[in-house]
Amino acid sequence: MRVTTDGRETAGSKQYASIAPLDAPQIEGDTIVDDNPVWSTIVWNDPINLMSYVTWVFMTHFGYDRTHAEVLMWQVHNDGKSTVSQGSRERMEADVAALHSFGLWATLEQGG
Amino acid sequence: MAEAFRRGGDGRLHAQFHPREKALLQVLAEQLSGIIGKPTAATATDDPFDAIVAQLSSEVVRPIDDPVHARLFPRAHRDDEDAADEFDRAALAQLRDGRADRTTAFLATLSSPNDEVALTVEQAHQWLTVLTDLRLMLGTSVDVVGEGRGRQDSGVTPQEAMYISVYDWLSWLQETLVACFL
Repeated sequence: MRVTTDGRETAGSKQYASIAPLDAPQIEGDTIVDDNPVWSTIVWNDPINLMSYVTWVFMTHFGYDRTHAEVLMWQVHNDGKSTVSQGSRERMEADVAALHSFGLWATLEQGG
Repeated sequence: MAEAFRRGGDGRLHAQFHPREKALLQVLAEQLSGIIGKPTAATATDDPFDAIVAQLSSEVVRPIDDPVHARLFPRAHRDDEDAADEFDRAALAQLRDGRADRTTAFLATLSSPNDEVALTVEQAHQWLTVLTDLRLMLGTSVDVVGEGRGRQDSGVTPQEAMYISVYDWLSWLQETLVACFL
């Protein structure tokens, strides 16, 4: 069990919206717990996509502001990869599909 | 020669192209369409059997040994083949159809006889993704990037040199269009 961290907006991913029910965290005491494991969306560096374009994709798909989008873009560029979103498996599958439609090299994996 | 994209007073994104440059974009986009494959045909049928057949035939089969296709449609899981196959079954046809539709829309904007292209914001977003796909297509086919052999002076064939020139031109064009949105 872990504290849920999934609370962000996913502007732009409507066409891949999952029909799965939203995660229903249970409240035990004053701690919100979630039996669903967290998944992560990873974007990998590739030598072709423009840095400006990758920044624009993060802003457009996730609704991130430019500063945050650029931080993630530089992580991809310098570290070879970046975790760009976290949440339920269904939501990460939608994010990965959307990023693929933008031409980014994205994968999902279990864990934070 | 082409002039960079700029945002006009009408809210559209404007650029100028020589007719031969538009023809080049057209040829490249048609080549891309061939790699993407045909979109799923609309199936309006009441017959359950026909519907099942249509569903099956709409599934995308990954071509063997096609690095461009593999780069356009990456595997969604790195270390879990079964999960990646499951993702393909759920998402690949939709991704293919989206790409095919955007490429068709891109080609339609090139069909005007004018040198100027004036894109709505939606069309400009389609252009950004199609220009990405074209650069992925060229960049995966030929070693055009980074420290690779294609950037060395020696050993580059005339055909590779041409690909590199086109790739660089597409990069410049896309950069000017992204700049309008940042």
